[in-house]
Amino acid sequence: MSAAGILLSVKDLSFSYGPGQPPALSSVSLDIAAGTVTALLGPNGSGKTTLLNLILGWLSPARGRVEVAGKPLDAHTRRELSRTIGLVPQDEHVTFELDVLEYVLLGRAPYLDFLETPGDEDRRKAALALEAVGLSALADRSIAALSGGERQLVILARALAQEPAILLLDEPMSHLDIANTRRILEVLADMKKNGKTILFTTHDPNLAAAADIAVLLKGGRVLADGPSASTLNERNLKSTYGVGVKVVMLDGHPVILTRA
Amino acid sequence: MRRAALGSTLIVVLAVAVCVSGAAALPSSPHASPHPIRITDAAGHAITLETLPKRLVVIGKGPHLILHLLYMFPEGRERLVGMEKRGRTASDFLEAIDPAFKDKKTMGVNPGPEEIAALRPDLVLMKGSADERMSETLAKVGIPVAYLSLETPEEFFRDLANVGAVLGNEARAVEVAAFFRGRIERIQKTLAAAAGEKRPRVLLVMGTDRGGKFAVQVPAGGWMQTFQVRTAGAAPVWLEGIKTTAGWTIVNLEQIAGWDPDKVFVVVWHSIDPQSMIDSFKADPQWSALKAVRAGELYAFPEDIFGWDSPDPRWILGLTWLAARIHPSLFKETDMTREVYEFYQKLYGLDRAAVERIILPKVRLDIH
Amino acid sequence: MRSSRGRSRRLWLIGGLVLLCLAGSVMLGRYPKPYVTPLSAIRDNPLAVNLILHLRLPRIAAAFLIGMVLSAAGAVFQMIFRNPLVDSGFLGVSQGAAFGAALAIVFLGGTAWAVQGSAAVFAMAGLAASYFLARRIRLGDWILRLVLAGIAVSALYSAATGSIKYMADPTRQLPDITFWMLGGLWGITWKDVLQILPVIVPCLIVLFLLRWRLNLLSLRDETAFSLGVRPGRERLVLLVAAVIATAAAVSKAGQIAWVGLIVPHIARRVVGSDAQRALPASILLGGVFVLVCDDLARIALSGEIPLGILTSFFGTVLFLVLLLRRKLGVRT
Repeated sequence: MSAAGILLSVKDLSFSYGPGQPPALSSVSLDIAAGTVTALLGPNGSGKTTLLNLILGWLSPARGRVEVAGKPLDAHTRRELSRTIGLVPQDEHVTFELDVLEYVLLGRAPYLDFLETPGDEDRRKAALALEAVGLSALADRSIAALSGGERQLVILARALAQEPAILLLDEPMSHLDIANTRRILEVLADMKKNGKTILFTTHDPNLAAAADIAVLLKGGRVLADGPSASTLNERNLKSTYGVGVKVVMLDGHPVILTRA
Repeated sequence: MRRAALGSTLIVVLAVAVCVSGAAALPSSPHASPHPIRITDAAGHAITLETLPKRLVVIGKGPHLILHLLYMFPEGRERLVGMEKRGRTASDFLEAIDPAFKDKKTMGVNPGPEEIAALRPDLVLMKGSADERMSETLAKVGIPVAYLSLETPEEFFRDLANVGAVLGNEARAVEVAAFFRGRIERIQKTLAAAAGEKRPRVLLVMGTDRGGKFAVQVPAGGWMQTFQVRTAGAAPVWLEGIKTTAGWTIVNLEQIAGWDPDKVFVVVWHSIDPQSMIDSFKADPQWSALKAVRAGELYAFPEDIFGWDSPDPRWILGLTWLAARIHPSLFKETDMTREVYEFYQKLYGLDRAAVERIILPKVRLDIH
Repeated sequence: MRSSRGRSRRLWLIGGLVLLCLAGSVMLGRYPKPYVTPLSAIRDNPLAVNLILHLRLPRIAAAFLIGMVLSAAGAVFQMIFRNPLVDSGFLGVSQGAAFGAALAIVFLGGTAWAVQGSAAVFAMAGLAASYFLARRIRLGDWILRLVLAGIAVSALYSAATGSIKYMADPTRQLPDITFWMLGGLWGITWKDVLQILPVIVPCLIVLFLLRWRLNLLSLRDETAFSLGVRPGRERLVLLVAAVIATAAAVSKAGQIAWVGLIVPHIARRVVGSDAQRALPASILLGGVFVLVCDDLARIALSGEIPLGILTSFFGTVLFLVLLLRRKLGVRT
């Protein structure tokens, strides 16, 4: 951990997908403190997923760098990084019918050598991760037979089995109903209590309101960033989305309403 | 003529004697040749047989070609124990001349090594030198395989000599070879004497008629059919211009019209009626425009039970007939009926009555 | 029985089935009589012993090995390409291997290493061509595109093999075209087995050791990456091993179709989709499948039936059964 508890740091990051393409991200800089929940908010195409992939190290920036625990990404080994950063993608390929527990077990890969197969300890941790999302009962079910909400939770469980310090979630709640959304948020709150650092993307301002920090992105640039209660105000949101919204404070948290 | 009669009588007597003795148990002590038998087969393998093989099995493509060769030797008839039944296994012919033929074992197409081993052969004879790995496979269980090719005259004489060697009857092989060579030389002498005679341009094709559509194919340059045409004093047109691979090659009518041959001979597969094939050719507007067809020089290749063109030993009859058709003025005395009698007598020991009964009814000579 | 223990038990049962089939196959043949060879026939008969040791056993070994390879390769292709409808016959791999082998026989001297090497090179090229072609097609979803591209590449290779056959001296250089198209093991000796063993065994070992990684590789690339996997590299290792082993098998046996397609599906139904069990199950069941087909090929009739005909027949029947009962175990 570096000074002032900053675990993840993005410095002046720029990226574009191809030589003739407009930049997906321009000069984005962020500092994310350990143990916080940060929401990346912005309309579609604002560069949220790109930013997540850059933080993950899956994409390489054209300019700038990503630092984890004070060191740039390429100063870490792949193994270190895979034990530090976990990804919950928006959805997952599921061509063949793995069992839920077998799928969650995949999250133990960073702790296994190339030719190693999971052992009892790994199975135990996978079961714990499944319990953490409240789906232990589904351990032997086929992953293809799950509902959308259950599947999202299972994907989260897989990431938890990785025991990462940082959890990246890409639109984790976009296909979920209210009950499942609530569940995910509860899990995330638990994770925060356990000291994990969480970063999720969303296009729904109300979900961003559930986070500690909100970062507003538009057109590949950071428009505003700071504590969600203050950053999610009407002016910022209007700049981000181009439409007027009404913000109401409820128990100290902003509630964003769109006007008809 | 007397020598031929004496010779054939001797063969018949010998054959009968051998058959009678062969009906009893096989001789217990091996009838070994003085030296081990050594041959080089059509695939170039050097084969050494310590004792005379007593049980012969024939497999591979066109088994009738090898069987017809074997049956020229009394030992061949006796020692053949089994064969692969593929295509025409010569049953129509061999059953007629050998009552014991139907007792020989037959195997289905492409028998495996175990199936062949079950016949306990001392030697397996097989046509073709392709990557048929039978020789390697059977060698592992101690069964030798000799390949025969029979596609060209040189191969025919070499394979004939090999058959004589493995049967322990080289004298007979020499006799048979002399018969063939004698006929060839006779034709060549007649042609040489008439040096000024023009060599007609001749096309020989195999015609197939599938569902009313003709396909015609020309034989390979080195094959027996090409040899027959050339030796009969004609120029094979299909050697001009197109590349013939080592097999039958399809040619289209444009190419044939381009060659514009003087005479056309069509080999018709035995299952098709040659007269109807010839008639369909003549009725076809494009074929009938050819010079040869207009002049009436379109012939079906002759045959009896088997065709006289293929590498079957009957090719010598085909050659004799061809010479007479191509140079009728030079070969006026050729009497094909007499040739047929002599062929079957000398080579298969059939007397006149047998030839008349078995062969002559099937002879088709002048279809055009 | 979906429990983990139940599935492991089934895997052991499959192992037992393997031993049974191997033992049974030794007793089947056509010498001295068709079908079953009684022990009494073997006892005092050196020819019978010879036949069994030098012809039957290597053939059984070859059939089993080839079944293992084709099935393993099929399972690997299906998981890596996330496509339940592929095997080496649908991706240009088998046809490429046949083309490479024919090319080596006609133009490169035909030594065992030239043939296998050439087969491997063209098999890899076929796979690459199918994959990159599929990425550029704009028709249908990924499953369809890969199958279409694979069929096109396979057809091209088949035509090319036919041309070589046409140009080569048919009496000397190449086995019958039917051998390449329909496959067959009738000439197999220990020499042949020993030529492909040093290629096939290491490749199978590699695939076996990486069986759990195969699960990881069926995830999204980003997810796999986040788990410390290098997806491109690990996929390449698996694919290369699968293709090289397949090429060795094809160079000896011709093209044997449908094994790699159908056996992994059956294996998955029996032991679940986790590659930790599904891959070994595919391997063993594939061996059994081809072994049983080859037994039929060599004993059913007096003449040999080309092996590819039997595997295609049984393979397609099983495929149709699974398809019609919607039990192909796949979600798209």
